[in-house]
Amino acid sequence: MTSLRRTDILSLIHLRSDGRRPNEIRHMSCHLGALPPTTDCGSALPTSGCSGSALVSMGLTQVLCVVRGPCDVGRRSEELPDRATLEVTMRTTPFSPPGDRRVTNPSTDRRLIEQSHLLQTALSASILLHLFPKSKISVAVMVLADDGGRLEASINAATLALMDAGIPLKDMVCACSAGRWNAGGSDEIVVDLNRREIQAATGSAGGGGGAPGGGGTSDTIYLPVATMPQRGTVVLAQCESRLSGGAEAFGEVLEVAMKGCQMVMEIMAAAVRERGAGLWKAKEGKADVILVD
Amino acid sequence: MAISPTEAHYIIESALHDFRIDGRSRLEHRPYSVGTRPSTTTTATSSSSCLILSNGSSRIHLPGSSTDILCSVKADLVRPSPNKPNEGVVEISVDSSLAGGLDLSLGGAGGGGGTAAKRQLRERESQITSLLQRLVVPHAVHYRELAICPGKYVWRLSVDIVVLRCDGCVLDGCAMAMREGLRSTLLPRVSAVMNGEEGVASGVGDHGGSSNNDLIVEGDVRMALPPPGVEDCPLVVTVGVLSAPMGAGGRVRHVCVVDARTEEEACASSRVCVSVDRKGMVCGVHTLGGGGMENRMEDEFGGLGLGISSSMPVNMLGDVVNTAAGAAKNLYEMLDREKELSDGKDLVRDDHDTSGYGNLLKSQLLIR
Amino acid sequence: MDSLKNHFVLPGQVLATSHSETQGGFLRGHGTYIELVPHDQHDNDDDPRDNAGGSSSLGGMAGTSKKRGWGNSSDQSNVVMRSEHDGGGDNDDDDDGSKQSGEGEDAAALLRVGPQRLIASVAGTVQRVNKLISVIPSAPAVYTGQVGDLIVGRIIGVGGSRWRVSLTCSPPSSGSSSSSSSMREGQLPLSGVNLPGGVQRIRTSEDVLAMRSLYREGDLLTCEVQNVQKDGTLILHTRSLRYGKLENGVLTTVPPSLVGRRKNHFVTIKGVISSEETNGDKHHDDSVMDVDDGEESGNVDVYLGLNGGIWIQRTIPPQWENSLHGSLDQDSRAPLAETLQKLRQRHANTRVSASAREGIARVRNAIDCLRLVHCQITPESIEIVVKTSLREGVRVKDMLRPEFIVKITEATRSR
Repeated sequence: MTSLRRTDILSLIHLRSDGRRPNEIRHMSCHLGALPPTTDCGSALPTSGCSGSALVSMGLTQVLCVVRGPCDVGRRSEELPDRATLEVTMRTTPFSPPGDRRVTNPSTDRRLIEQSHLLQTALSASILLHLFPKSKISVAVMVLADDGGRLEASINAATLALMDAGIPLKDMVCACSAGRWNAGGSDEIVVDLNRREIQAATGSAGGGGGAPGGGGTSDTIYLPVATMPQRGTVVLAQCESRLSGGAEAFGEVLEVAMKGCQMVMEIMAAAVRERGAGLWKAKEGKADVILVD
Repeated sequence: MAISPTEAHYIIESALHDFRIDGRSRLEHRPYSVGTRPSTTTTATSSSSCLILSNGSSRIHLPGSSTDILCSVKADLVRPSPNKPNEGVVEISVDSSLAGGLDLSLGGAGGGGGTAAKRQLRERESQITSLLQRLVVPHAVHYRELAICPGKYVWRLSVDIVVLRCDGCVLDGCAMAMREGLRSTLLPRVSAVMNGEEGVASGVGDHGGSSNNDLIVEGDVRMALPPPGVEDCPLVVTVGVLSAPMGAGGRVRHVCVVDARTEEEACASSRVCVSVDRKGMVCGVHTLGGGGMENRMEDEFGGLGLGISSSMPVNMLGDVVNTAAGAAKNLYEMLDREKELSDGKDLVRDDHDTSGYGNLLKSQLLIR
Repeated sequence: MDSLKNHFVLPGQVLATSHSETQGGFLRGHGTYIELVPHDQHDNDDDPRDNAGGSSSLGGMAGTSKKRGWGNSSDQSNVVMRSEHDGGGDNDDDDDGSKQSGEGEDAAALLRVGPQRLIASVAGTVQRVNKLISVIPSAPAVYTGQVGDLIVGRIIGVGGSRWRVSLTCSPPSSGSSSSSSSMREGQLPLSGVNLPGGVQRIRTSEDVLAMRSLYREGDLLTCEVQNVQKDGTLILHTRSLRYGKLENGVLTTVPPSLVGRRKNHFVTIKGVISSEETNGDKHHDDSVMDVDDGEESGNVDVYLGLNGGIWIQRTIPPQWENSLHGSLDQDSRAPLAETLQKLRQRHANTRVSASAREGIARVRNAIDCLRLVHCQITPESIEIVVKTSLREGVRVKDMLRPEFIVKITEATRSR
């Protein structure tokens, strides 16, 4: 799969293989309340107590997130006396990878477990869990299509779904990745890598969170970052390649990733505003309802 | 899962009146809407809800309720199994994790964390999968025509169904999604170059594809066709049998409803899944248990011996199957209408949403 | 601060900053939290996290030329928040459920520590009452109870001299993992119900044993919130004649935010049955139930539970009550409780006529339509949708087709 040469990533006119400039993120669209609005409604017998959902697509990567809760833990042993339990599951659909289909089991697939864990870490930094003691908030992420960066898309989707559910957050958590190549003698730092670029950067078919090892050479970096852009703090950064450039090199890439997160945040904020305004108008009885399709 | 007897009673009474709680008659389906990738006529740039990384896809969506089912079809060329060397393969898998685990046997959701719940979820999924495998898959396509080069290359269609939400009749929805997904699938025209004996010999000798010259793939998307025989892919109609004791004489009235909502499903005394193809031929019958109401109903309405149970008389099963066949005809008509409508639209507008699948999961009602 | 009024804010957005010297800052309302304004320059460790924070200010500023209204956050974006700070006492957060009492002192205590700022924790519009600043989410998915709310709930458990009531009306699940799909459930203590007979007396152990004869698992009931506990658990009661078991009708559920608090939650929708409706084929069976007398007004009762459960049943015809009084002539001074009990009994045991069924289904679908367009569910809006659908001649089953949803809810939007 790594027949791709690194020079292919950035052509001479400084465009990436999919036509973006180095500092451009992929086309991103957010859709809050993708599943029937704040469900468990519509039927007398709710099939699940979902309270918020969001669909996020970043380029061809597409992720659906559903938030349930806060609800009862069910088992006493999982109950925390002072805050809510946060349960995060990440799944992939068999058809998500672009090539052959691949069935993954979220409870045994190592990469999914790892990414679920990263997602949980990132989210628990933001959710005000202590407001709901003895209860449970569960976040279920379904990767519908994976063209690289599924962890970043999942974090963004989870944030939006939590906001859709009205669960108090300390700040919005936005995620974006950045990478660096030594292309043609000069360093190029790019933002929001797609699958091909991740493969080139890590030397393996990275599913998003970055697979360790492989042929990751010392001058390439793939760095997914989750931030709270309004505070300018980092909640998650993961880098698995050996850096020849030292700490400064890391800082440069991180800076680019932070810029990417800022862009992501603006898109997310716009989506939330749009949805909020729509709902608010609907509440006042002034909204337009348009029949699409 | 239990709803209160009085709710169940109201639902059954409503069905007896042929005026169900949402206004439908007994044999009417809800207005399912189908989103697929437009097939043959238009190109893939046209916007409809679809998964663009798949060869074919569909979304079954119920605007007034909470059913939402995605289906993806991926096609690839594989070596056939030795005992069926000249037949293609259709594989199916169902994921219902986001729906909280659909409990087919009782019609509702369990859910919750823990390994036991996860195992339960997997069991339920496999139950749905195996039912579809038996009811739909054998008749889904013309398997023989999926063979490119018998014994060497056949198409394998992998159907993956994701149930995001389901408000009753999960099998019906899955079968619908599968059928529409298969119909929207485009298989490129592939022809095998038969170099006399040589090609066959090399095919037997080593794994297919070692010599790259024996397949010619037509690159033109307009030449691509849906899998042969997909129009005959059957749909499943689940008939819920609601039974209520009538009068003091111990008589029981049975009434059949199709496309039951979850609450209707919950008070069914038994359910029968019938797969019916386009010509009205019954392709398979499976009886499922009821919604778990019967025990309580017996308590409420005079104890045991009223004959409300999951078993049913033989002659009734015949009626039920007939009912299903009748209802299936209407369902086919409805889906065709839907298809015509959306195809017409696709020809007209080819505009916004260049991202390919921004429309996925969008509700038809946009609020602003 | 004033400029933020009625603004739409996002989580993490700073609403107000106050300094300990300037007394009279703000009070924390719903959907916000308070934290200390971090000192501008923290000691810079070589910790990569701090590094990240430092560089982030660069990235944030450079990346966004068109920064619109992030509040004050941009000014302070070079702040490094560390988890020690967040977990510590300097960060006190809003308890969305039970507030009111603690707020003042919390703020006062915090004022002593240093400058602090108020930050939104949910996406919504800012509301300000004097010093109290709160953020109201446009569609809170979680129902938070208040004393006096009407609840339409379902019994999911009996035991410990109390009933467990699911607020999402979700049924008791058959599996081992119980109640996992139910959002916070309510508790209906035995002392919160009227025992049969209507007399007030001490609850005995026999009553505890006979709890299932009153409400069993799966039963639906209306009740009222009597008390909200510290952890958000609702204590319910049915100690009014209006509350109790729901029978012979239909339940539908909507997001709780669509049911606003109003004076009366037991409403009657009038004129839901089209005039030309004729009951052509009436099924006359020998039945355990009496067939309705046909003396129906065409009205439908709707119980709007604030938890999102909505119960629809036919209006009990006034004749019934009169006839009840007539038959009970000898002791016409029978207590109201008994009369209601009898009426309820009769309602439960009398079959609903076909036309009433249509009315109920129409109201049910009208509520579904309103839910789908996120419209507030009020008796007026239901009535508008029902009337429009009748006028347009939309059949009940067609009401949930998207094109009709748009059409028949149009009037509710142009008020």
